[in-house]
Amino acid sequence: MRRGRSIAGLLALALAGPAGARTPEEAQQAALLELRREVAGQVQLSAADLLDELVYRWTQAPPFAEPTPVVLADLSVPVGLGTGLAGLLENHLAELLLANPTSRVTLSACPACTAMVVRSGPEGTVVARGVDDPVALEKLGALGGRHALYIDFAAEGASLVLRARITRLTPDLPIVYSHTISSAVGAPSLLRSPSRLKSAAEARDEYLDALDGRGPFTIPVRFAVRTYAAADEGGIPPTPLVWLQTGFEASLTQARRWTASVVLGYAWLPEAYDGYMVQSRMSRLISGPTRSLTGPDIYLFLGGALMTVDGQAVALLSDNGGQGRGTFAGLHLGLEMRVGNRIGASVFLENMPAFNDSERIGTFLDWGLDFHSFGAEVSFCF
Amino acid sequence: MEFWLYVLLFYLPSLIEEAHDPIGGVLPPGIALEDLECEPLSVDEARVRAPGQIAEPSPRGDFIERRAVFCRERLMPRGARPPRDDAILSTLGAQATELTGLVAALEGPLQARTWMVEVYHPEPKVTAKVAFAMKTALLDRGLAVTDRAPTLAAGDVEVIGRTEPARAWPLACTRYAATGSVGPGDALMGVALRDRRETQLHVGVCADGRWRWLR
Repeated sequence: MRRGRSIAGLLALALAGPAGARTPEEAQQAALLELRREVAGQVQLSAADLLDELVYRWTQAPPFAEPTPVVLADLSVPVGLGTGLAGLLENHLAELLLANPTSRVTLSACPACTAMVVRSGPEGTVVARGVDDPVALEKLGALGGRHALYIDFAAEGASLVLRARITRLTPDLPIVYSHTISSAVGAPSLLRSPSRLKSAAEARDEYLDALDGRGPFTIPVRFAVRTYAAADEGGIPPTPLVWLQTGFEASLTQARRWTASVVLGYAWLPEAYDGYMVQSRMSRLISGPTRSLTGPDIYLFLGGALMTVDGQAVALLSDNGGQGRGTFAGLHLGLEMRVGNRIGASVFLENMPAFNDSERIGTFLDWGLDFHSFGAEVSFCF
Repeated sequence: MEFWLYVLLFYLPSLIEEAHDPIGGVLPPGIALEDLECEPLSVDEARVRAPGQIAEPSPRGDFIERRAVFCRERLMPRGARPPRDDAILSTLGAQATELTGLVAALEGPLQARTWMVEVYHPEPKVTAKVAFAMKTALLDRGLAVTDRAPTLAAGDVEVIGRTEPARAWPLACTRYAATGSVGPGDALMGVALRDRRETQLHVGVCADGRWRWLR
């Protein structure tokens, strides 16, 4: 988390506004509000992380033996931050508890519990929130063996601290559970999914794995098959070529939105053919703005290859119409699905300019550009 | 000339590191220094706490003497909260541990009682934060704690509210016992600012109608 602007800078900016537009006190107040809004935005992920950790711990060691209705009596955020943040966190907590019934904490609606109630008796008149006066709640018929959950977030230095306690709503209001979790706000978010919570240690390992897999270079190893269209219907197409390729791939940004690769390939089938190729490719991520840490990514790629093949099985690709080695270039366009930047599968169509209007090779598609070849690849990245 | 270029190249990595030193560097991070909390760490520990920030040592040796200062930015920049509240809230966990330690160190039957917590601070939001932290810290020490709050009659509140804090707490304690609000099986931990200008919290205990300050 970085705040380039100090509060003094913010105050200076605010005070430098149009003269007479607002008083210095108003400008100072506005700058303070802006700063607090900024902090609230930055703290939101850390606070959600702490709630994830709390519910995860409940799933591992439930606070109750049986599923128990609990009223969210209060969720407070650090002093100085707005109630909008509290609302967001309440929603996140509800989402977590609904997705993790093994926590045995069931959120329960009880409007009377959080409303102000007034009770008069021989000892006097008591005005209190419902959760603070279970006797009044009982008379209202709103108790039903419930518990009250209180959650408090506090900003202590560089740490955000979550404190939680559960109180049984009986007249003596005993606190039956309490827990404190602290997190450094500058620490990266643990990126946990509400429906698949994991321990902080597991999440940290995944984060480190993601960091390790985020280097600018990877070494892909690809198995590719290129098939070719027959020249005419009923004709015999050239034998598909099976390539083993390797090289290096560079990502131009940490998000891996753009990648570029150069690979060398070798094809060999005993008594049939052998070949060599060099291929380069640019890929663009189209499934999102950044590479996903949890799901597959889809790339659109465009590339070119220079191939040379020789053998009886690929005589139709030879330079001399059936005799000798054939050397030709190809331009390909395709889609690749990659998982965790480790495994990928792709399909592509390839145009070979040397075979435009050829009588030996047909086309799979003709979109103004003849696509003579259809290919598929499986990649492993190291 | 070449000699000085070699010297510059030799010291360049160190000079770059020094320039980015958050304390005293000429190119510190764009964060106000007073908003950083820094502590020196061993390089190995720094690699664990801030993965990816310090290069792994080469198997053939590092040839650079490294030192690590681990800095974290304060969540709430100085000035975002009133200074007195900020001083209390920034060290709330440590203060709760310390004050409840004084309570837990009391000998005798108090340990078996059910504890209530009452906090006085001019700012209600801070009062709630402090009370929450104290209750949690008491539970962490194995004491029985209740959310029940001691109550006073309106007349008592009128009188005690006009009394200076040093005398108000003993007086309130007497009334709590008289009304049964703090019963024989209960004890009350009172936490207060005794002066609006101070930032240190004071703690006292009310049991059996007797009040005593622990700090």
